[in-house]
Amino acid sequence: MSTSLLALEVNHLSVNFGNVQALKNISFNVPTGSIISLIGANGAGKTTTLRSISGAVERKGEVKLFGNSISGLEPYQVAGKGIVHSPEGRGIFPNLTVLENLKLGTMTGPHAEDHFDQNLSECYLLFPRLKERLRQMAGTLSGGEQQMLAIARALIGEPKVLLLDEPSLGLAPQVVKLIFEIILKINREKKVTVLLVEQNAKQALKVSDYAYVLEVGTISLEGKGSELLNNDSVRKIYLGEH
Amino acid sequence: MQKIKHYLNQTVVKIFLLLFVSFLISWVLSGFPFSDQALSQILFLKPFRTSGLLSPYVYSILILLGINVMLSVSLALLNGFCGLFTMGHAGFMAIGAYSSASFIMFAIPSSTPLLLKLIAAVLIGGSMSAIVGFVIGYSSLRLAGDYLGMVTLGFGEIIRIAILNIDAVGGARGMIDIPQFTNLFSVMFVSALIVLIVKRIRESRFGRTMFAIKENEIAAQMMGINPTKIKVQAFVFSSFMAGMAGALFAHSEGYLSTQTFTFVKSFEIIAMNVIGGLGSISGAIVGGALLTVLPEGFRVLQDFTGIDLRMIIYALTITLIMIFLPQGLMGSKNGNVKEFKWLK
Repeated sequence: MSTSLLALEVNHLSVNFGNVQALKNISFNVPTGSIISLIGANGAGKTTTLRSISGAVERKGEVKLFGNSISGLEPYQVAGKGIVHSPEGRGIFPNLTVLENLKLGTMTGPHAEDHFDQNLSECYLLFPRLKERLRQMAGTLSGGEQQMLAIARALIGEPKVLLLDEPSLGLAPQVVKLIFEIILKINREKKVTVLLVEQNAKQALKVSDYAYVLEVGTISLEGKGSELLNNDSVRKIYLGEH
Repeated sequence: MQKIKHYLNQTVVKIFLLLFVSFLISWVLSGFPFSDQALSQILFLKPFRTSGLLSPYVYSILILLGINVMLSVSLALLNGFCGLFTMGHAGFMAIGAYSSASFIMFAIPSSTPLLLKLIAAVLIGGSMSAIVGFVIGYSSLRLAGDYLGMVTLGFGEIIRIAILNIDAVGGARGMIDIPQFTNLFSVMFVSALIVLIVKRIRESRFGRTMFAIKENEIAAQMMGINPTKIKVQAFVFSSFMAGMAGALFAHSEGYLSTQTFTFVKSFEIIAMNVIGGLGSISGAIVGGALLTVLPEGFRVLQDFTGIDLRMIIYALTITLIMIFLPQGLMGSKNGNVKEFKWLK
């Protein structure tokens, strides 16, 4: 696989919080146009991995975007390169209206502001619910709608790579299903590369092309999504089957 | 109809409208004078205190009200929009007041037309204050919350004590004989202009990014917002406007003492914002007006009771407002802000 086909290249990433080593020398690749997921239990280091890619935590190691190193950049600079990170807990701005939240999405891409109207109408197609709620404060939306808003806002910024942190957090199973359908749609139709972090291993593995299993800061297992779904130890530990 | 509406929305037209309306109001309040001399007194900014519908006392309260509204709205930009809790706003006002007063007294000939003097005073006061605002904003960037409050409190006092030790501006004796050319017309116009500018900022991209930083700085960074840049810009804008207010203050009183600019003044400006509702422009206006008028309004009471109940009632009113309307007069329970219709 040549370098240019890799959207993200993570080499020997380590993160320390005081004396605790949260990530121990992990390496993985995200090919362009794919959905890659990181699954694992609480405290395995999934969120830390995403945060260290976008520069929000101090880390050792190298991160490359399309072959160019983005190590050492501030989070807003990483965002400017086309990596949009939808953080854990969605990171919407509750006291701004839905429209204002979406407009803030244009800060990411260099041409996102010019394409705002077009991107907005495309978002309406994906999330018809948001159109009805434009003037409402984002904090008054339901959990599922807030997650839709977070994804829509990320899309407004015309990302090359989308980092999604637990999009299923606190949502009803029906809504989780819908969100994952949308993630798949974004990837297939808009050709956005997605790096997904999930506790809901079953749903995540269903949509992802390739997946990594994180266990206390190291990658313990990797494989195609469908393979991992049938892997005995994954089924036992993460899918709760016996 | 649509065309007229569009035309009225143009900024230049709005500014001229503001000019006209503030002239009209000061003309009415001065008792509809028709003589050339009286009209020129309003237009060319001589203090108009002797005749008209208003007593000199009420007139000076109105001027103070306008200045307090300016200060309150300028702090709303920092404290309400960007979430930067600063306690040194009186320092910016002091810089504006002293720099414009010394510029007018020492740097330009006294025969300069009053209108030019006023424009120079406001711009010099604003820009000197903005420079200091830039330095303070830039140097205290890594701080947030209470820590930023403490640092700005310190900066405010440093500014005051530095001025106290400059003999050229009067030192502890205070600065006297400053030319007085602030009148109701100029105060009303400048404060309306500041409200208009802050309202435009609120609706702009810059305003949205400030709110984003206030709500969730990490998420804002991940959206590609550079918080350092936005915070310094907020500091510069806010201190510029506070400096303008300070300049108008210097030329309305004619006398400056560093005792005016202690941290008590800073807290008063914060109180105006909190009582009005943090993050709301209309709240800043209402809060500023209320805290100017309340302590004066109760003076009448003293005539009846014979004892000074004024400050007790003033303090009680503020306490009651905060108990029954913890979000401020213009805030609502779910954390949003209500605005006057024309402001939103």
